[in-house]
Amino acid sequence: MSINIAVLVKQIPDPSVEGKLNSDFRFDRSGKIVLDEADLYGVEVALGLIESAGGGKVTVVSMAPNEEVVGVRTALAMGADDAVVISDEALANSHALATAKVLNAAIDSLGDIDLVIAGTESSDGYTGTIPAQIGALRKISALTFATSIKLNGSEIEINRQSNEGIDTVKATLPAVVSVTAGVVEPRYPNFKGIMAAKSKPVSFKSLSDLGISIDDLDISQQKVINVEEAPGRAAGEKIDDPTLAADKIIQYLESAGVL
Amino acid sequence: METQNVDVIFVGELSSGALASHTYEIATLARSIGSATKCVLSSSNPSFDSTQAAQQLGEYGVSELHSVNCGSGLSGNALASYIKGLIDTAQSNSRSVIVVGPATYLGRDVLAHLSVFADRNVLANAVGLELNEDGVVSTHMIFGGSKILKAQSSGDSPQLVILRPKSIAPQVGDEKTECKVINEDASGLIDSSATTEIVNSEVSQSEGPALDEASIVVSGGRGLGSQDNYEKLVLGVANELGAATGASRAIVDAGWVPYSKQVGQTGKTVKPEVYIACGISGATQHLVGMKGSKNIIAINTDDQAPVFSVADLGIVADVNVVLPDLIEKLKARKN
Repeated sequence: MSINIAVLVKQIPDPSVEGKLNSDFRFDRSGKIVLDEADLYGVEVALGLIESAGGGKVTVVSMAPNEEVVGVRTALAMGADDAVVISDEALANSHALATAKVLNAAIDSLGDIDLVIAGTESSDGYTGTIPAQIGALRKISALTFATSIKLNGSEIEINRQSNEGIDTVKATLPAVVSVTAGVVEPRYPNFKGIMAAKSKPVSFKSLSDLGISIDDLDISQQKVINVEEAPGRAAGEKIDDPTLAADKIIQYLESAGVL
Repeated sequence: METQNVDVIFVGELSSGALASHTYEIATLARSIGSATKCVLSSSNPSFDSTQAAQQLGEYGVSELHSVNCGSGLSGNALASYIKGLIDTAQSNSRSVIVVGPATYLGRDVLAHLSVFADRNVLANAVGLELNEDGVVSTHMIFGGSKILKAQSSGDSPQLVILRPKSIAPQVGDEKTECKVINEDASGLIDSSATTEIVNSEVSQSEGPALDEASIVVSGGRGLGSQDNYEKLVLGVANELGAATGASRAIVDAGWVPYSKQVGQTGKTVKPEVYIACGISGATQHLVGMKGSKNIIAINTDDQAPVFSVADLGIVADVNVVLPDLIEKLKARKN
């Protein structure tokens, strides 16, 4: 069988560099941009499902300023077939619900999509609501926090992280799934993949291409009013003799009253 | 917005059959921002005693406990649909509504669905919430907790908030409120195309306390070198101390431990009496989840590791040398 998958990805400022805010309190994106590592798992899961289903298509969907594609190319180099990037200056201060609506409209533009896959949350904004918001907007099952996914025809079964263990949850396609990190080993793009990614189709869309009016997104419902340094925490005693370490830790635990 | 006009509806949750600690935290917050507070939770756990829970919530000023049957699937959509009904009723009585849910698997699912049903954005990962004349002001930690951001939202009803557990100290009210139990069925409120079915639930056999409830947390990072070492050493120390085990994002990403163990910005916040970071360098993403701990012990070979900047006791040494010794000495101490 053949299956069509949309994978949602975010292109974020390199997390190994200390983050900054612009004077208007938005994340500074002037430095290096990368594919959010949390999204590698979604891309890998999608590619794996296509391989075991024996056919289909993986389309990468990303919303980013200035037609950013550097992270999208990483997903294409891993093996995704094509991509849609939504860029529109009007979306500069977008919030999670507005972003979900925009991504959803982009998914609509792809035609029949059986499965939408996303990471659980981005590494920069870490809101963590977009997968379930997409589910609610599409009126389809939202299978969140998946640690594994199986497809049997039009039935999907996931293992889902719960507070107390793992739930096995079933639904019928179409569905949206968010996958937790670490559940699969994301493949590294090889040279052939990187070269092929350069010529894979990426289509750019604006809000008007998607038939969305910025006024309907109600983007101004929140505004940042203040950012300040959090109170620091002072460093204490430091030792570097491993032979003293265990006794020192035990002593410390005793004085803290937990031992 | 003014407290006397505000109804707070919040998502309660169970942990091992009893109310989770974050339910008391949110109840405490709810009392400070609204004049009527209602707790909504999924009644799927057969061992749940709603009468007893209502007694406890009454101490925190909660006036209604809605115990909702969500059917055999995931509860997020059903609870959100049910809460939407409560919002509509309250608003038709000229009340403003603030809905608060915990930043947990369930809480995020509920608020995400509700955000679409109510067509309102969610203020995610708040660590504080207050009212002012313009509406609601929420507090958030950004950049690994190094900065505190405040956001102003309008006074439009409803406002939707996801609160990180361990942000508010739970405190009972001055007076006990009569808390009424309301049993409802929301299983029919979900669109048929959006249904899910839980076909099996497996409870992990972890021997120690829950990560977000424990008084000691032992966490491991990449410095351990392997999953084997994590299991032998971090679990070994935790067993001796009766501690919960946690992990850095790096080793969750590497697949050594499940996501549920992750401490940090994209994971859980913990505030134990003692946090022991083993082979964790202390990326800002991790620090935000643990720097509220009362005492922090860090073990790392790199003298310059950022984790030492928040550690009360820093040990510059290899965890794979220190921890076996510590396990031995803790065992010997017991005898």
